[in-house]
Amino acid sequence: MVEPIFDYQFRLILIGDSTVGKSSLLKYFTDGKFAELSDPTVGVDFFARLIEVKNGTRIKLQLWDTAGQERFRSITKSYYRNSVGALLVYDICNRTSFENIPQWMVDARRHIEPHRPVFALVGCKADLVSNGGHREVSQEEAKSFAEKNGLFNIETSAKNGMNVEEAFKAVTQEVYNRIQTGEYKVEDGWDGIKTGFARPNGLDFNLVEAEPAKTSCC
Amino acid sequence: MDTSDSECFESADEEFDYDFQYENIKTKQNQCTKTIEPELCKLKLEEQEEDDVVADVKHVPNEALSPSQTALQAVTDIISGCDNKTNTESSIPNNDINKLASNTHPKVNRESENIPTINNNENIDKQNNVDDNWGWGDDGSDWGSEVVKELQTDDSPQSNNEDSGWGDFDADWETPVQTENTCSTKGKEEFSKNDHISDDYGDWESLDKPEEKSKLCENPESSWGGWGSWGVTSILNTATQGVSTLTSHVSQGLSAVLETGMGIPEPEELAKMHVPGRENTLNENDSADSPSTPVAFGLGNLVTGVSHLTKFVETTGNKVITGSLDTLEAIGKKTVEVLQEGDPGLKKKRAFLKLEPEKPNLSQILREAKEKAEEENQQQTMTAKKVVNYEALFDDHQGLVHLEALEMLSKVCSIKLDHLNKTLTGDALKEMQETLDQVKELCELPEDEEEDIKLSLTDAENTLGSALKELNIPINYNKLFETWKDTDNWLNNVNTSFIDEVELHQQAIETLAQLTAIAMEQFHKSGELLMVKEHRSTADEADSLVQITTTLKSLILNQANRFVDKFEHIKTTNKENVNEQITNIFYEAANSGTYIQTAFQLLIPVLQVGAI
Repeated sequence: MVEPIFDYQFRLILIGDSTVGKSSLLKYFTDGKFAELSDPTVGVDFFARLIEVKNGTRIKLQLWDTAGQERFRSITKSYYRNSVGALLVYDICNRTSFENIPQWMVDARRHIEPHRPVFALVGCKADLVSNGGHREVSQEEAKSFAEKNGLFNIETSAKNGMNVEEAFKAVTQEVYNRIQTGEYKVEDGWDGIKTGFARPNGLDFNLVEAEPAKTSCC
Repeated sequence: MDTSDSECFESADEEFDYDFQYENIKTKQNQCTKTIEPELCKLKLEEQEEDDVVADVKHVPNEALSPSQTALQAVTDIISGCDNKTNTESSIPNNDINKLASNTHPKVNRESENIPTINNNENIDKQNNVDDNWGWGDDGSDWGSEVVKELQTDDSPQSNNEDSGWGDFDADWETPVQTENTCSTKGKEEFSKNDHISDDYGDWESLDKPEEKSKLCENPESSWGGWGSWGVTSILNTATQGVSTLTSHVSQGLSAVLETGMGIPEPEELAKMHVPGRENTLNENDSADSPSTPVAFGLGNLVTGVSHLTKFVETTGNKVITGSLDTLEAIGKKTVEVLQEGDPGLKKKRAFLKLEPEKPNLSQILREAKEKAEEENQQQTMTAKKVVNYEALFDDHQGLVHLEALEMLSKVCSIKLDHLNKTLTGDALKEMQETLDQVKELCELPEDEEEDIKLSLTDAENTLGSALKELNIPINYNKLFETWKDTDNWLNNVNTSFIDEVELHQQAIETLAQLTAIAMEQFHKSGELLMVKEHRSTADEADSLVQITTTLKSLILNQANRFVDKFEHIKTTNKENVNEQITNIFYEAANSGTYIQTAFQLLIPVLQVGAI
């Protein structure tokens, strides 16, 4: 009668320079919407969505959308620790944002230690390039960096939704695979991975599940 | 039921046979005594009992006979009965006759004892009945005993007529017969006239006889079998008797009824008037009887005795019709009696038959069952919803994760303070400690929380607005005000007759969780912004945050109260449930207050860090 609505909760954190599009990416992923204008994130914001990995295991993603602004840097670093995955987000039309990725990665790695998170390199605003915008980061560059550091890499657009789903799915699957191999474990005092808890059926949890175009009702 | 059907059957035959057999006895007695006056029927009880025993003994050997044999015999019986019919003097029960015989003529008594051997019919029929010898008493023990009682109290057949109840039966039965006798003696022409009428179809009547017999056998089963369920064998038997007799003779006796059945004088009068005539009748019967005895087993002889047959038909038809009416009446009376046994005023039966409105009827029972099921369903739904309680909703609105993030911030600040505590020495440390204590004092929340319970939205907006101004960080509580307004709209527009307590409770908890989650988010944001704030003014910040905290707590309690007020307007079937849910709302409101207070206290290190 009562079944868990998710089997695991993964905490993923999105880091990267200000205005690269972290919040927009998350908004599209959880809400299916794109906001032309949005306020800069203060500290950290939270999103959540249910996603299924290949064997049908239901995963609740708790997504920490950190502020990219320099002034929050010290604060956001304190949020890294409990993450099992980190999306390194840059703007393919902003060379600097890509060049700062190694620093973001090092910070994340250091703060998440001793845990070793799954990293993904996510280029944003791919729609701008196809609309005649100026690409500052080539796919090859990104690919070579990712291969060098063992990262998953993908280019996305929060405006048309291109690869948004895939980016999160890839990270989630990798985390799940590492659970399966025994590399990751549910640990007390670490909130990167939690087991799901039972909830009754038929209730609204404000989690938009796999239907991006739908708004949550509350 | 099954057995009662067949019993029905047999007893019908018994009755039938017995009437005639009884007449046969009479005939024999007539042969012996020639005249029997009704006055001689006065009996002594002891003698009656003796005779019953005799009758009993007589029947024992006959038990082996099958029903089909019985039926066959019954046919023969009718035939022989027809021949003997004119003798019928039913006002004198068989036993009475026996008694009479024993009293007046020893020979008769002997003869009556010999009856089983002389008359096969009797042997066949009487298997169970103790009271066989009584015309009606042989229906069943209940009945029989009643009749016996009646007879025991009465000295003569005539006095029976004055009695109500079963006594009337015997009397009524007599009536047609007596009438017949009257007719036969008073006007010979009438009789002969009847003979003529009956003659016309006398032949085919005789041919029809076997068929009618079979009809006789079927009818009780089909139309009265159901009565067996009442378990009142006496009624059953009576009914069978009446009906079978009726069905077999209605057509035959119709003409007789028309001529003789109407305007019958009182039986007593008739009996008095025609006592001399009866003698003649009996004499006549004597002559008629002489051929009848050998005829008893043969159909062929019937044709010769057509006039006897028709007479029999007339009498029986008449007898049957009046008798049947009485039977129906008797059935009715007896039925009521049986129904009322242990149930005065038929209360239970009326209730059973749904005749009494104050007793629960089927629709009521069904409605109650439905309501019960609905209640159970509701309770199930409620427990299901209770699992998704406040905590789950609070989590869904990101309240929990904001609180967690705020804890992280608080921890970071505490670590910083601890570090300073370790590194500083002397006056610097003392100064820092004093500052930290001052901040703590500033952050003490007022004890009495009764104020601002009736906080309006405008008041809240003003208070929070000025507090945030003092705090000097770019946050707002617009989201909270929006939620507040939505809740107001919901509360003002909700139709209390269309929602139940479960729905209202759910809405209340949802609202509380949402408001608290928003508060968490804003406390968290406040902490983040205070940490990145360049020019800190700890005292103002503390004062502002205290105000915000108090206001938020008041808001939560206010909303909870408004929801609880709504509970008074909704229709509910479960008062206990309502109380439970009101309690739960207040509990979660207190829970919200605790979260808000905790969030505020988590901010204290942030303020302290700013103060140093």
